[in-house]
Amino acid sequence: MSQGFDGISLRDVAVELDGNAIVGGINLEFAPGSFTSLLGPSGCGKTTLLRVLAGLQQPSLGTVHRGGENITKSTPAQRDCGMVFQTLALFPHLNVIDNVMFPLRRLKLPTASMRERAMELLRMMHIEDMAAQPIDKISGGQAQRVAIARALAQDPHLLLLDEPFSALDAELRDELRTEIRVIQKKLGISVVMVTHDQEEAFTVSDQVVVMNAGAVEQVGSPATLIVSPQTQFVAKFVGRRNEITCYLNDGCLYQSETNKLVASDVTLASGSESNRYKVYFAPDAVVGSGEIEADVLFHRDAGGFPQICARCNGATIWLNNLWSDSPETIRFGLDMSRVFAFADTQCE
Amino acid sequence: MNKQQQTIAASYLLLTLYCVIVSFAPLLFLFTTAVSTTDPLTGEVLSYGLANFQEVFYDAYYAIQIAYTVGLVAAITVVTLSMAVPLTLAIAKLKNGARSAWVVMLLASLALSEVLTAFAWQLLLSHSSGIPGWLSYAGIISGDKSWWPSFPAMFVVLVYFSLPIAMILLLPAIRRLDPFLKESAYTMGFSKIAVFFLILLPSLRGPIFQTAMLTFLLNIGGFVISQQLGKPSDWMFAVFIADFMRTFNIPFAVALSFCLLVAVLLCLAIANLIFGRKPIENR
Repeated sequence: MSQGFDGISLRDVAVELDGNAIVGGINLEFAPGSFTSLLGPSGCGKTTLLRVLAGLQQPSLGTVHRGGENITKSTPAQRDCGMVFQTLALFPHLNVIDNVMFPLRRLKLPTASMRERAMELLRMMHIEDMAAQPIDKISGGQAQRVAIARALAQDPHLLLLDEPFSALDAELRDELRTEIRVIQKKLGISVVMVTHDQEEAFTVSDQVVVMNAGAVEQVGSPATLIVSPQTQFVAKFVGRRNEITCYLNDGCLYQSETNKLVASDVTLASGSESNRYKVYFAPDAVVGSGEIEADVLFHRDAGGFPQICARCNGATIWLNNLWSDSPETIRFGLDMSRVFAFADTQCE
Repeated sequence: MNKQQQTIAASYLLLTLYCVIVSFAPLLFLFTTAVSTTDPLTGEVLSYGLANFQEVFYDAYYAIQIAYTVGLVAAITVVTLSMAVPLTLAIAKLKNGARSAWVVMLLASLALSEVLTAFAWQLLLSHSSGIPGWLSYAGIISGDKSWWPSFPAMFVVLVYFSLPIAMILLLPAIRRLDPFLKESAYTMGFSKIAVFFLILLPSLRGPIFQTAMLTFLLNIGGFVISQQLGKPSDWMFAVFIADFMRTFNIPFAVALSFCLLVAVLLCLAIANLIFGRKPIENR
């Protein structure tokens, strides 16, 4: 079904809209049969990049390649891709099966063949009973399934998903992303999904592209991004890590406001020439004894484990699996293998 | 009966009263007039009967005039909508500032009265100070004739008059349309023309139908533009009604109005049967 697809690459792609740089200097590769997520905060250029891949947005600079072929100027139809839009963009005047059959109309197939193909896709998405339903009479989850079925109708090599599950409740989101992963594996197609939900990106993707302010921060597997973030943004954004501002003195990091020791033997990832550092650690990268002191704001049960919300060095932090003898303060240390320090470039 | 049911009952009662006062009572009064025969000098009712309606259908003259008016207004509606849909789509795509400017311009043209519009077009189409004169002066056309009164002049001005109304009515519906519908179809390989006919028009069927109905209804009773820019043979049915009103043959004028009303209701019913069905086809 998808043999012959050699992967898509973006080379030095930049997009400007109305004189504003939306994305710039993008170099990415999407391997055949892979599931890639473009992850980042709102407005970072993820959707623009997806539109460049779809051919709906021409890059101001750079090229798009499929295999060895330059497809930068190709129309969306020539790109052989299916796309699910954030709004789903289901045609309101057509019912479920007609929506799924619609892309096949262009191929001028006999109606029976189109119907058969559409029913096959609806069965795959478990909504064959909905075939005759009007679009405005189906639920959000069913509409999502119709949109995916429609995007797959032309048997594309590349499926593009623009925040496809953002409007769904957590349970349905989980169910659908598992399903889309199963379908991707079954069909062997490449998928590129835009999301701002880390859990979504990490649970289904082979490769995650973390973006910020129109640039790629880091590309890697979910495990790589968690274990070794390469930039300050990734360290903070991925895993929702705590952040403490520190300064370096004699190889030790001290809290900038309280001058308390944070770490004595920290390995600095970058910017060792700086004096101010941002130290990032996950809520569960803490140990019970240590020099760091924080003011307890409140305790809570975070679903099977205790969690403390505290104020440390002017920042709000979360600490998992710690107990405090004092109701007002807590002392803790850090698991140094899971702590990341970066020069605080914003204060330079 | 609980409070909610009481509120609903009161609403229905108010609505019924409103309909009776605003629609049925005047209609009944007019019908009484239509079936009466009055003294043209004193206005005194002499008798009641169907004489006025018998006179309307004495020969095919008025029936032909009604058919002509309905056909003309249907053509005006089609031409207006054919222009209004693409133009409104184009305006909807503009940035906020430019779109607002267009909306203000459309509203401003609506603020002009029908008489003023007709007069402005008479000037524009006259040989002495309008387009024919300029073209003649430039040597592009010969002759010294004005372009009005004529059927094309009347038709163009009626479309001009209807166009802003149709565009203003269509704009909110077009702006509500999901902008990704088009892009979605582009990724499926459909051309812009195919997207227009296969996606945009069917998606807008409801608003287009409603706008068409309103354009039709607004034009069916029009007589100022028709009378000022058309030749007597081009005049619409409302001109005849107005003429009988002027000559104080009000019962006959009202009988003509009723005949036109029946024809219009018949047309609307047929249009609703053809175009007003549910947009989703369950196959």
